[in-house]
Amino acid sequence: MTEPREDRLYVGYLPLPWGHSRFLRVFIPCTLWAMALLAALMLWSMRAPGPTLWETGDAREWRGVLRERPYPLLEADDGAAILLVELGKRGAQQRVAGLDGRRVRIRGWLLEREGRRIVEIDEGDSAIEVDDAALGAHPRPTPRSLGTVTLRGEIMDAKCYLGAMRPGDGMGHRACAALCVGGGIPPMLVTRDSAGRPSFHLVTGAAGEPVNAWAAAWVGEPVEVTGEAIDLGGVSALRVTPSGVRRLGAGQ
Amino acid sequence: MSVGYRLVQWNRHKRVYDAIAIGAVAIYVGVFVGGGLLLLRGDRAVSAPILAMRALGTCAIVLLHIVLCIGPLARISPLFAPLLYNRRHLGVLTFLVALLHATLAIGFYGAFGERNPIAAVVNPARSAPPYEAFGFGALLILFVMAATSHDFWLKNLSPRVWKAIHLAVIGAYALVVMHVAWGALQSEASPVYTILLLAGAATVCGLHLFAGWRETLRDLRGVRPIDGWIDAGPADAVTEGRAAVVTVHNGERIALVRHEGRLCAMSNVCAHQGGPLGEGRVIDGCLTCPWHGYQYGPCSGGSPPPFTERVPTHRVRIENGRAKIEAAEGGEP
Ligand code: FES
Repeated sequence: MTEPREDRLYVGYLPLPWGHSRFLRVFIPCTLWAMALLAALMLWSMRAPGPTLWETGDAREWRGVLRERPYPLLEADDGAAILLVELGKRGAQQRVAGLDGRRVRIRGWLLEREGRRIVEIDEGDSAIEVDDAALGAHPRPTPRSLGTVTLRGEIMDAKCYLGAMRPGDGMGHRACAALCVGGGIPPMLVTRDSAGRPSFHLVTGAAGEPVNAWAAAWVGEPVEVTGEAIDLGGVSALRVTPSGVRRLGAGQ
Repeated sequence: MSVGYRLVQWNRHKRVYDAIAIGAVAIYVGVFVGGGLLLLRGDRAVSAPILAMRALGTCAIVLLHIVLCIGPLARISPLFAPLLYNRRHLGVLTFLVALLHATLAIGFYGAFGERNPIAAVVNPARSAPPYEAFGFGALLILFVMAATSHDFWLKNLSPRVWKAIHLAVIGAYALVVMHVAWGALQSEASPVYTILLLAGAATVCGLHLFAGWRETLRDLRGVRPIDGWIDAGPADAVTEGRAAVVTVHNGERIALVRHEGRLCAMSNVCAHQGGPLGEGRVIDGCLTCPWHGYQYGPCSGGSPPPFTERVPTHRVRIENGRAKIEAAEGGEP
């Protein structure tokens, strides 16, 4: 069917009228360009996840003294305190049970951010080997109280934040962080000073016990935490009750 | 539907439409993910699955905005009619892109843990508003709309119910805005996202208000019937094969059409999805709807067999060169 040129009615099953086709030849490319520009703008505006490291490839070994509580941790021979977790979103509590205070060799992969380290333990029984014979040969140093403090920051799941995900913090990552912390990954309050330097504090209960269950409800958003600061020797911890945690609005 | 016997040509437009829409998604996601992998390095590097999740999430939102703007644009200018013709395919595509976004979020954030991944993501232990559940709710609405988008459902549910279901897109849009406002906007530092979200909402609302305002103005100029007859203006203003929309003061619209020299009138509201029949014209002896091409006998109001759609007709008479339409429906033309 031929139609006069000025005919403007578009019918889907008939050839495109001239005016429509002229319009679409401009409109569609413009829309495609606009979408590409929008994608570039949104990409470029994303915040930087920060300096994290996740070693891959062959697993490495660390030696030191194991601590079960509040969260599995290795006091490494070089003086560093290294948190320990399993593959996936699980803490290492079961695997280190009964090894508190023993000298061990641990095989796994390192995650590190701004001086704080965590090791993801390899699978299999041989990944943790006890090096000494004597039980209780390395008593835990007495925790030192640093007094009551109020800090503002975000409670992170230590594994994702230190390198398992980029970014491993913030509201977008909340469900993952809640799953990780609920699954035994240490909850860690991260605060930053005005220059952006971080400090890391493990979050524990008032008696220094692990608090994965309730801490999972507070991840992913800015919070204010009031509690007793404790020096665990190489790691700082905050002893907190749930009432010591308060939501802050975004941007505070 | 009324154009079943023209399936091949109908398919060609549909294919071109779909190809462009899928191409647009590919361009958007390609620029986002490709650019992210190539350009964001060091401290700025983002995990690839998170990059893809963000690309798909923002892409679905862009598509939803386009879907929501097509309606008012087509009401403002007939040039946008080709975009309206296959809008439901764009809606289904929006759902699929959003579904991929949700699948990635659930697979990446919710997997490798001790809980059911869907429950872990949709309902995390939390203190702040459940923005994840808002997104999930929007996805469910988009799913129902995509699943019922076929004309089979339109017919079986009746256009009225179908339209009501598909108005739920407004709810989906609101949920998406909440999903972003209580989600990504809480932790992204750049104001770009807030500005874009507000600009998008302003565009969608602005276009709808503008199109509605134009129609309200037209309604206000609507003609009052005298003795049950509406004055539709000079009879020769409607030329052969053409139609015009006559607005009655109560907001009702009537299509006045000339076919083989004779003036006939029928409801302006297409039986398919309410398209404006008076903005269509006569093709193959039938008044053809400008939205999806449903056809009606200009004087009978019925679709040509085997189709059974029917719109109410009005009687027309000519008095001193002016066309008069009977306000009551159904009289013999
Ligand atoms: S053909 Fe779809 S509204 Fe008329």
